[in-house]
Amino acid sequence: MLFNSFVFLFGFLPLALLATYAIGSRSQTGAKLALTILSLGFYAWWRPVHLPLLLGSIVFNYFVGDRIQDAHDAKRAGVAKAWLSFGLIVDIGLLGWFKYANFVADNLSAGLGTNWTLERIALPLAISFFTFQKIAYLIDSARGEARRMSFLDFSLFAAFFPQLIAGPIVHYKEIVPQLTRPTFGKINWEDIGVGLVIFTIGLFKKTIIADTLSPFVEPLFSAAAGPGNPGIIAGWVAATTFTLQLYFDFSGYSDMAIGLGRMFGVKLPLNFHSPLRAANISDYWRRWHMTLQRFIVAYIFQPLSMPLNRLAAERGLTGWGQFTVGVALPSFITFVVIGVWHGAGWTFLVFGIMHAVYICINEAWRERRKNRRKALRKQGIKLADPAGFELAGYHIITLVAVMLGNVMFRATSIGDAVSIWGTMAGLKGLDLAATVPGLGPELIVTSLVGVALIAFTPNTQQIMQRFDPAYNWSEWADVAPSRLRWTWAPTLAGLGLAGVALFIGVMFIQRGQAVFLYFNF
Amino acid sequence: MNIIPWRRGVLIMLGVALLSAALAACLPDTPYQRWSSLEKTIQNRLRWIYERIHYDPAPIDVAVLGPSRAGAGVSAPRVQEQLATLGKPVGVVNFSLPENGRDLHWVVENEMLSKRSPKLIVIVVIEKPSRYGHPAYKYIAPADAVVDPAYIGNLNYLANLIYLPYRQLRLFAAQFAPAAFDLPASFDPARYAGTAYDSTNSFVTGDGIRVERNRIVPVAELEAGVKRYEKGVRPPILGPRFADQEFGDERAYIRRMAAAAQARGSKIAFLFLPYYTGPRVIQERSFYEGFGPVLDAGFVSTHPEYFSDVAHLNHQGALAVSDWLAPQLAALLDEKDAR
Repeated sequence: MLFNSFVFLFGFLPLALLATYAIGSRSQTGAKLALTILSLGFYAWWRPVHLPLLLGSIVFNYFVGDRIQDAHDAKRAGVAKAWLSFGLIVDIGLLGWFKYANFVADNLSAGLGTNWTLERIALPLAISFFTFQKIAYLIDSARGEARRMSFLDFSLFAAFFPQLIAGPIVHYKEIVPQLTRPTFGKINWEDIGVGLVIFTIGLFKKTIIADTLSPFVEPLFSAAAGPGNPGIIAGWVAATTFTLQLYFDFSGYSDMAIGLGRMFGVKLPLNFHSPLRAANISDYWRRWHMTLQRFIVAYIFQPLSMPLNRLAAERGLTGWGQFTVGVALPSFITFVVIGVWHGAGWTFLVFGIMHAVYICINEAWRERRKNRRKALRKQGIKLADPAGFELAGYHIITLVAVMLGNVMFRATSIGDAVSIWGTMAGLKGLDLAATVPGLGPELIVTSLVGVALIAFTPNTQQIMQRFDPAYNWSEWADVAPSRLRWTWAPTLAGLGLAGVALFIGVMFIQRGQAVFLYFNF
Repeated sequence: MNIIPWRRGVLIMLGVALLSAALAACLPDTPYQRWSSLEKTIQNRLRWIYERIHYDPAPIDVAVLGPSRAGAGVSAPRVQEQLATLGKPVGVVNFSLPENGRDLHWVVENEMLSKRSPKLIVIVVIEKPSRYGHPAYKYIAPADAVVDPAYIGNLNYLANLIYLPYRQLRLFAAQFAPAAFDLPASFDPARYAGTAYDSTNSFVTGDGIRVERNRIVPVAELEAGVKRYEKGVRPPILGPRFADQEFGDERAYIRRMAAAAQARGSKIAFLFLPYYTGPRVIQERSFYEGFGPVLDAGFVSTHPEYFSDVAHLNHQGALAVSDWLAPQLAALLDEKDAR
């Protein structure tokens, strides 16, 4: 079921709110049970055959998490580690089987020159998201950060429909305390109102901007990747259009998820914080798909980085040697994992490698700048922070790097992506007068509106900052303020504006419900 | 700043959204653009229907309305020709449309009756009516018709109603910039399919799919199609007491069609067209007979050479039905003239 569908907006959502709050006024347990069952129904709506997989994952991880917590409490580190390893092998194995088995089999078969094939395995909806959530739970259990809870609380934490399909990827410590506090299930009109406005902003981003750009992307990519000379402009328009679509689609989805969570009294963590306004690639990744990024940092980068830094110290490495082993290597591995997490395909692998290279260059640049700052300080000179043209240059470099990566992310093959890069670079000829497919008022106006929203206006959480809009808002409240400052308030004008935006967002669903891009992962 | 309490605030927000939807639904449109809005779909015949009614002065004396079986089964030019040889020089049109749903036939009839006064309206029926309205109804029906559910249990009602504000906003804007919405600004005679349009010939849908009507299908293929078709047929669930709800689309709109025809002085008749080997029993026969005679073309069901697929006649079958139909229509026209 899509958030931007009528069956959800006029059927499921009102039913879920009514059931949770009507039952919750008498019994919190009843409200949790109702919301859990409804969330499982929400998942099953798409492809019921995969519901047992989700249920199995919930039961298995609850059981294993319990064993790990028991062992941790009894200070039996070896046993906890054994259970954790077992849980991780099963979770990652399941993800690997469903997501990567065909890819590995196809490539092995091609590499070995055999005709062996593996029957096509249907990818269960949201498996990457709910598997990562469970992995985080097991590791948190082993670290003593996740505490024992009832099976019902765990089931609701794991199946809570706003975050189930495409995140934000949540942690135990963020959600479970909210589900177990006495006010859960009791109606709170502020939560419903704030949630509805956040949801409306997300719906607006998705249906008005992302879905308007969506039909232009395929013809643009086809033209830019084609054998002829579509002109340099077509290449850049293709990359820009897809970057805008991807941002408004996924950030719109995340806003909707955060808004829905809030309607049920649960604050979800932020997933986007104006990433396209970042001036370097590290900052971009801190602000793009933030919950995936922090997962990867916490459970892959840090566990890799610490022993590698120790190794570098033991080997007496300093300067660039230490940087290579302690920073560049774990960064590289981390971003390759991020790339592959998105899907089983060579384009995703190359996308990950590209961002790994970007990050390494950025870290090297930072290291160099740090050294220079130190050297200058010794001479009594203070190295000024970048500003003006220098800062604008960093913004542009970052954006171009992201767009080149997105071309690889969206292209059907590495060859196509390289061909599009060639078009963008003018290698097929500049031909500024060439006809760009679909380039008309609709694409131009929507793109300009999108760019203006990104460049100048506050993001969703900044608009809603009066109401503590997300679980971790306080960490981001002062980051990347917008040029135009505006906050929403429940005045007559604010409510009227939100009502009209809701109407327009719902109305534009009628153009056809485009599936969220991240539903593929 | 005047902060409004949240409970009232949520209601205001939802109220504004609802009010905006209601206002949008009230926006005026250009009916010709509305009827042309499905030009790139299988329902592209709607534009021709509107043009035939409003821009073609040729008379409409006999009109055939119904689902795709009617389109494939009755050749209007052939019936017109046969009636002429029987001494009835009348204009015949086939305004049938692909897919089931009587509500849209009512809309077509109303549009026709707003401009024309046919002597006879032939409504094509099948063995078991649909439980749902026509999928194109929400695109074509006037706004007030969409708002009116017509009967309790209209399963399409909410989906149709929700679509209305968007449709009206789009059509309203299209009046000022038709090209931006890919809609015609005015009638273009060069694009008109003509008076003698024959729906029983092969055709290409608005989205480019060719529908072949000039072929004879192997019996085995037809029989396999029958099995598939019959698998999808569901017998009545609620029983005769609730037939007005379960088959509300058929019953409510047939009543309306009959009333509209009567108000305009047009006679109503029903024509039954079966599928290959399909039953001769018409579930709603007695209901139809309350409004007009039922002409039963069930004889074609045993002729595989007449079918282009399980439910649709080929051109040869259509000519057989049309030749059989013309004398019966002549008799009904005689009855009408005698009154």
